[in-house]
Amino acid sequence: MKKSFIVSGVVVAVAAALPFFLGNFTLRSATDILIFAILASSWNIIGGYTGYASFGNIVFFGLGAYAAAICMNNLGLGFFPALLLSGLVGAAFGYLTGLPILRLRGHYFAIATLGLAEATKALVQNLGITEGNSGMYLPIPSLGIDASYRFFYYTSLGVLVILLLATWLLLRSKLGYGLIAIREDEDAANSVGINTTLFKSTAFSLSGLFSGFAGAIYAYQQGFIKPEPVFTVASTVKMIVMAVFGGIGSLWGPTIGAVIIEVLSNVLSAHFLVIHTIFFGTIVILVILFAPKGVSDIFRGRRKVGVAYFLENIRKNKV
Amino acid sequence: MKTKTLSRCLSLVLTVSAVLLFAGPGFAAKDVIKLGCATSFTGHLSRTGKLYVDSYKFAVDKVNEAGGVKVGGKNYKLELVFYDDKSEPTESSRLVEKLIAEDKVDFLLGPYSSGVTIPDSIVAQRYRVPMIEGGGASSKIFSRGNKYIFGTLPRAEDYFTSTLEFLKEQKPLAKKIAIVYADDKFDLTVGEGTKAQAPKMGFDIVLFEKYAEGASDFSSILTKIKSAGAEAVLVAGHTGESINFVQQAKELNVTPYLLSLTVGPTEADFRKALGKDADYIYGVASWSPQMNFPGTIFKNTQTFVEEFKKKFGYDPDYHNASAIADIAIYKDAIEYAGTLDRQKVRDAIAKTNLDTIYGKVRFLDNGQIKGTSVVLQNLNGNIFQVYPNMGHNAVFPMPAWNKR
Amino acid sequence: MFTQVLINGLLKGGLYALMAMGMSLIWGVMNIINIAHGSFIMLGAYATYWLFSQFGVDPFVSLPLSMAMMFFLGWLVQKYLINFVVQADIFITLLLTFGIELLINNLALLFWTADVRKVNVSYGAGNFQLLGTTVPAVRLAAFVLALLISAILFYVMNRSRLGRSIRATSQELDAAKLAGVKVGNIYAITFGIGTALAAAAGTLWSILFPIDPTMGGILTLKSFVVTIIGGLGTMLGPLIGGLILGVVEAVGTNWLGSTYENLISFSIFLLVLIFMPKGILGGRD
Repeated sequence: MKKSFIVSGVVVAVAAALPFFLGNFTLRSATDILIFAILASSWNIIGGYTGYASFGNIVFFGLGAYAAAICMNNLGLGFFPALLLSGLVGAAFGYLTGLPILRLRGHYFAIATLGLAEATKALVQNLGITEGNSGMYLPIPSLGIDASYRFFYYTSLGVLVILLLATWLLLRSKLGYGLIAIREDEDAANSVGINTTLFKSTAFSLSGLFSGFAGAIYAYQQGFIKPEPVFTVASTVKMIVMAVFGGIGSLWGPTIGAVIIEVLSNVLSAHFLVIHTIFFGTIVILVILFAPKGVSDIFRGRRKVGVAYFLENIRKNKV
Repeated sequence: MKTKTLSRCLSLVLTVSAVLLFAGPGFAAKDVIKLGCATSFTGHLSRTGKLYVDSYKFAVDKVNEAGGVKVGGKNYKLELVFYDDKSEPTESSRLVEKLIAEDKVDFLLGPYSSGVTIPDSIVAQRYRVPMIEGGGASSKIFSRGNKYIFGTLPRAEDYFTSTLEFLKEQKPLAKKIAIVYADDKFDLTVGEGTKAQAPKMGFDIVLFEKYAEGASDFSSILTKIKSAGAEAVLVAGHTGESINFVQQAKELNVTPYLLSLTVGPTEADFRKALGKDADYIYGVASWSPQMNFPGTIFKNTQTFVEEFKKKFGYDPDYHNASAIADIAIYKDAIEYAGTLDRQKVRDAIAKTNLDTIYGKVRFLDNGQIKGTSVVLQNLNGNIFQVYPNMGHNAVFPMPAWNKR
Repeated sequence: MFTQVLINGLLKGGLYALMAMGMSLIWGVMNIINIAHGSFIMLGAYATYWLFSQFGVDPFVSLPLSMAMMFFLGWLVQKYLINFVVQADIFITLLLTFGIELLINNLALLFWTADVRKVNVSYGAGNFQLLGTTVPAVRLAAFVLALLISAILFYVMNRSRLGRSIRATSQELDAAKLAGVKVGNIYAITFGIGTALAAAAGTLWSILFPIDPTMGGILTLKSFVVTIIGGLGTMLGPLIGGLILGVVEAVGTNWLGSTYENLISFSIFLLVLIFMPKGILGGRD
């Protein structure tokens, strides 16, 4: 355990040093990667550890973005109070909507979350305070250009580190054990006296908290937000695929997945102007077919990763 | 355990190298002025985006053929750097950043549509790079004190003013008007502006209704229009929506005296998609092919229209003309400033007082062009300016669908 | 005005019902939620468009052909792609169909560009008067087609041998296997029928509305709503669900404004899921 702490520490230290070596545009891309890492790791709490695959987590991101816009624009708050409030909005929304929705299982839960995200988007598109579908401005950071890019990078990195720490602590807590119990066998967990409703809602709420933070950072960095980009289903799929690719149910998995997929995606789109759009769909299909347990599983104590491993995945799952 | 550590370090190293790999610097060639532009080659705005791309390329080619831009005694060639923003605001602003930081462009050209222009202009402001856009008319672009954005489309609030004036001259007199608008920044502004003006000019607004940007089904709104007995229908939307709207107006047999849409009717695409159904539909533009102004890149408007049609095979409309003006303004401002320094060029742009094939270009303090719109009508597969009257009379009221 | 609103709603509802039938069949029988459903509708629409614009074939005439093409494509997708993950976690299947949707949409964007297309048949905007309302002819045709197909589907699933095999497989997978039913094939055929139905909806859509490669997304979501309202596992469910959704949307947007359309649909969706997850006609859990 000590070893993994050291390695994690090194990774964070290197990440913290990066801004001194990168140009602004690359730093911006790196920040986007961190934001996706936060989203994927937040999803992991409800999707990976609790076993409730939510297909609507983007709703917290969107709410966080709009909460930040309203706080900073309409209420004149500074960024950090706005950031905090955005997270709280996400958390509260997660808890409250979680209560009725988490009663559903499997397919029904998945599409209910999908519906929740779409309904919330539609609501935002019709409210006056969010300026409907036309979009909201956020104030421009008063820092200089270089400083503002570093600011966003470090804020994202900070949120990610806190998220991972929180998850690590969670896993060692009663809540964490409860969540895993729910994932493995919810009825048994119930009969053993675990308050599954409370536990599930808390997990959903936690993922809402951090996704809300991500939304606020994104909004402030963009300077202008519209409903469609911040509530898009495509991003939900992206964060899930990143988590799956990196390995759900593992701490660093989603982050690794986010980094690899985003970097690959950027490199491809720079060199294959046209074909790169096909990339993501193909990757999803290949990953699902051949390595649904993710990259982490491949590295986890396996001597040889041969073709047999991949084929075995197929054999297990096919009809 | 070892594999885990190793794999982590490996992925980290891979990441860092990959990241550094694509952090490569762009470099500027000598004697070239790079104009960067992220616009809609694909996506729901691509029909109109294409008009800008064609015009920018055409204007830049002509400028270079004539010797380029003179700065400090040297001749510089203009070079365009394009990216496809897929009609998405987020993607567009990201690409503008790329253009500035990686491609190291000197100046920027705007994307198409106000909704996309706003985030792009924010990036331009942050990096202090002048951006001239020919495709965003919403005053919201210019209301934030952004000193680096200039636009060549006139105020969205005023788009329908000339149409209202036109209506007052027609018989039978239309009193009841319906204002229908999409919920994006441009159309919102048009809707609100028209709503403010119409009552002052003696009109009754019988319907004031918003619809979702990109909507395809207008039955609900058309039903309301019919039921309210609207005599003139003013629609603020983009081309895709306009085509739908007209088709469904026919489907539901809605025939007001006048049906005018902000974007679409002036484009060749619109006429192609609707065929005969495009006839008698009105449009609004800051320019029409019947005008004639002297220009700097082209001799005058009529020569431009002829040459453009010959080269591209379609009739240019105000989007095309607006884009030509953008390039003309840059050439003029850069030569006036005598330098490529962004601040000085920006200041020169603000002081522009230029004759172009698009008309006279002068900017308001907030960066938007001083201009007005004219009324056009589609007749027999062509579009003509009908107000102010340049020789073509309008057919008013619009004949019923089943009587054509 | 109210009669017109009602007519608008019913006719749109018919189109919704037609759209959702394919998804409902696949979901009810195989417990697979086909996120790529809208993409198949889109492909059906494009098939109609190309046959019309290149060869001048009228959409109603080319309808069986596009259905057949999509049947074949769907059959392939199920047999050689989805069948491999059917036994895995539910969300794995969801992700796979998401991937398929992305792939199909992006391939379509690549080959056909994002330009919006339209099938301009001469009768496209044809309409007639009825009881003081205007009834658009093509929308009426979609409505009638939806009724027709519902009836055919009902008959096939309940009376034919194929239908019985399909239902047996859906209800008792292991028993069906023991009885010698080739489950993989049955699944492939069912999926193919589902995508063929999607193609039919696509054909009608292309006559009424403009089409583009990304049109499928919202259609998939609306199909969810219809399926859930009507209830899974029943052939008449989509019809009921579609009509209800169509009418509620028409009345709701008339009252609140047309930008509220999606809010209305998805709110109903959530309410039904939370309080009446089996939908109106009950059915499979």
